[in-house]
Amino acid sequence: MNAILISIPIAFALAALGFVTLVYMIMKGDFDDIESAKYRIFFDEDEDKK
Amino acid sequence: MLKNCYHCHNSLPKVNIVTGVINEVEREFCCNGCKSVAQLISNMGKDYFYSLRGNEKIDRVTQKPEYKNESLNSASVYKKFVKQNGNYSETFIQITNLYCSACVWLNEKVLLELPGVTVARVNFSTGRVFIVWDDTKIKLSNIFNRIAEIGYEPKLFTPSEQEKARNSNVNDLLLRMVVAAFGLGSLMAITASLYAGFFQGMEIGTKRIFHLLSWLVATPVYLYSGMPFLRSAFYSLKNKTLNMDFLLVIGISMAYFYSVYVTFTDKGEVYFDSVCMIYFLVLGGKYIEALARKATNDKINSLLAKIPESSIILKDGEELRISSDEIQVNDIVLIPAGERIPVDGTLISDSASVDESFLSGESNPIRKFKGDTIFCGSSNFDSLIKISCTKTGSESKLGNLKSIIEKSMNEKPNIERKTEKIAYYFIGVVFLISVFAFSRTLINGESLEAAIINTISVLIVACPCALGLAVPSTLVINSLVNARKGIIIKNLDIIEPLSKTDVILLDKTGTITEGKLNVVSCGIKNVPHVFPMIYTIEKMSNHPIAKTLYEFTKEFANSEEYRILEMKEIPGGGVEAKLINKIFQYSVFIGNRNYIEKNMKDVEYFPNSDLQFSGSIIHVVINNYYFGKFILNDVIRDGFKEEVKKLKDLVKDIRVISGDTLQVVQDTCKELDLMNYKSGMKPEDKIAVLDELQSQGHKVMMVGDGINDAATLAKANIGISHRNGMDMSIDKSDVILINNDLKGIRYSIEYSKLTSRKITENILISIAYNSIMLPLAAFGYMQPVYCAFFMSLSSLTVIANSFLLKISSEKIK
Repeated sequence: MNAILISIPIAFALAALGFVTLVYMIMKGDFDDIESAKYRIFFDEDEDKK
Repeated sequence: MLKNCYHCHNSLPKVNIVTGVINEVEREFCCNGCKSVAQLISNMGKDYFYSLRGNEKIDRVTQKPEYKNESLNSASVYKKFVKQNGNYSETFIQITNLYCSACVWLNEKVLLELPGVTVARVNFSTGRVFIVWDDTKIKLSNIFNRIAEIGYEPKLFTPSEQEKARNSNVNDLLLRMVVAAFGLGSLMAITASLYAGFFQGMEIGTKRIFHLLSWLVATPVYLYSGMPFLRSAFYSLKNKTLNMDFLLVIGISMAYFYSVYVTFTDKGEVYFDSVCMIYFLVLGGKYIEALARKATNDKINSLLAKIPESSIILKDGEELRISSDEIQVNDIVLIPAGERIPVDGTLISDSASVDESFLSGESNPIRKFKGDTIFCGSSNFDSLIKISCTKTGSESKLGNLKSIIEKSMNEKPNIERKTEKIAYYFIGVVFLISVFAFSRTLINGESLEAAIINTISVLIVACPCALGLAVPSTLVINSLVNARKGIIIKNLDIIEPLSKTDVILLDKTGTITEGKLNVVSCGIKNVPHVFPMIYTIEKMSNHPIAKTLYEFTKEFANSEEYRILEMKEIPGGGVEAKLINKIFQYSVFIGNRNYIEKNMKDVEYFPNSDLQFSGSIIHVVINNYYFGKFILNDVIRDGFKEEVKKLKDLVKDIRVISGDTLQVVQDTCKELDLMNYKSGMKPEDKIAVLDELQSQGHKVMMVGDGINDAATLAKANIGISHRNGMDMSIDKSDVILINNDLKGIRYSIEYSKLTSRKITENILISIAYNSIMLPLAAFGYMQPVYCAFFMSLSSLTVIANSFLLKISSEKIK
């Protein structure tokens, strides 16, 4: 019972943290362009070559 | 083996291939534009672009406009498009021809190397670059010129209010979906324990804690995630037009409030997980749909980015440069040669040659005379012209086109309206069944609580989420798979007739063929002397034929030098000029047979007829002596021959109906192995062909691009137009091939067949679930917990089945 009482608030706190982060990312516009990211993985290869 | 241009990767022309040395290796190019861009890219050390690009085709570098300082660096442009942030300026630049990751890479790298540019971030899905620069080090026109130098077409961009609202709607849906997802995730852990407790027993205190926690988690989901549905249900009740949202809200609210009742009385089980799951699934579907709509809108916006940022108007005899959206009706607008026209207007100048290819799909410029209407978005080929503004912004033809597309994208398809109608009657039936379940339980002498539980079971199991999802979920996937191939289904009602298409009518110019002229044969005598003459003359003209000949003779530009003494362009005839080199003077005519026969009767060695040739024949006459001819023709699009073979397996008949001459149409059809064709067709002839086929019971698809096809496109069972055929043809067509790739014809038919099948399957699945579960619930054989499980299962089955459409569509190559 004690384990539940401790673990549930921790789980909720972690979930809340994740949620707040996600909301912040949405507000910042990180989800406005979900296409270009997959292309940018190729760019790093080029940077490495340099 | 077919060779491709080193820069753009389009196939090389049959004649006059341009070569150049890039990094000490000789490369082949389709034109000098591509060669100069490739050399510039190489000089900048950006050859990695070609490794990244792979086999992806990009636009041929046909022209390289110069962005003038006064046009882009003016205060009015800065006021409208540029935001000042401390010492830096920032703006969005729309690039209309970004095709692959290499384009993104090249633009970002090249721009970031400009002195003063601190941020250059390309958004691939919208084709926009967000750029920040120090205005004391570099000007906006320099940035534009650099983008143009590497072969791209930049335009300034400001998101419209509508677009901002659309973006915020997408983010709003995402946020609501995320809240439902977090609720669902948290509740899954709790519900797993409660399920275990249901079968193995659980201490009442622990159960109560779990119930309270579930309530705590589900309440924000019910109120925040569910707000759009609650609002819609409220208005549907207020307007007495019960919709699917109403049923959804009734079912979910029953589950939620019953669970709240259980939480505080400890009698029964809670169904908070169902609340979160249903909202999550429905919002997920809506989010994907909103993303698809946004993506197609972005693509359309990039195609419609044709209006210049600033324009010159004449006010009180003075020339004023203002932002194009500040132009008012009756303003006199000056349009320099080569610039686009910012508003609809009436021509004040005596004559003008304008490119209305966005309207008609025809690449030849149209000659307009004083008093004629000039459309916003078209280009001025001649010298400076004056127009009087008649319509601006959304009132113009271009603006009107945009609103038509936006409107059509927001309309619900017929099939969705039909399922909503089914659901409307279904609500009544469900209420009757729930009343029956309630009364039956009480009549049987059971408690009031048992009667309420039975009624809730009926309402939960009857919630027609699966039926509601059956059509939209399939249509969303259909839109997604189509959008990936550059196909926009403007009117979703046509999915069914599209799947039954059995005859395809094809327009020729601009549809089967590229709509661009190429020199297919050259029979000119004394090339080293004559080509420099042609080059010198055609360099001065903006006519498409002149441009083609200019490109064709460019290699000989320096072999002999000529100076133009006199030059006259003859509309519909050709060009006449007097040239001089160091010693001699020449009188040169480059043009068609008609003009020579009417006006130059004594030309020596002039052939009697051109009938044996197909295409545009351009003759060259120097000092009244015939020097030969060029044959220019429109070439069949890459890969269309193979595509026709595949289409033949899909439909009964493919016919070509064209306004061109018999010889031209015959040659094209012969190459495509098409036996049914008609030439010299006027719009009314095309309609007659269509009427005849339709009267025979055929489902006819028309593929065209110009104004002359608009009526046929509208009347056909399915009208398909492509990117080049704008405005009228897009207005009248049901499907738009935004990538200009004719494979879209086959894809759209095959996808619609799959979609129709999936819709039928989904409706059958949802009806089967309800037909089995409703009687069981009504007669008290189902606990609400099982009902919620099966109800969710039915929605999941329908969604999973819809997703199978994506997998099936990927198999179609």
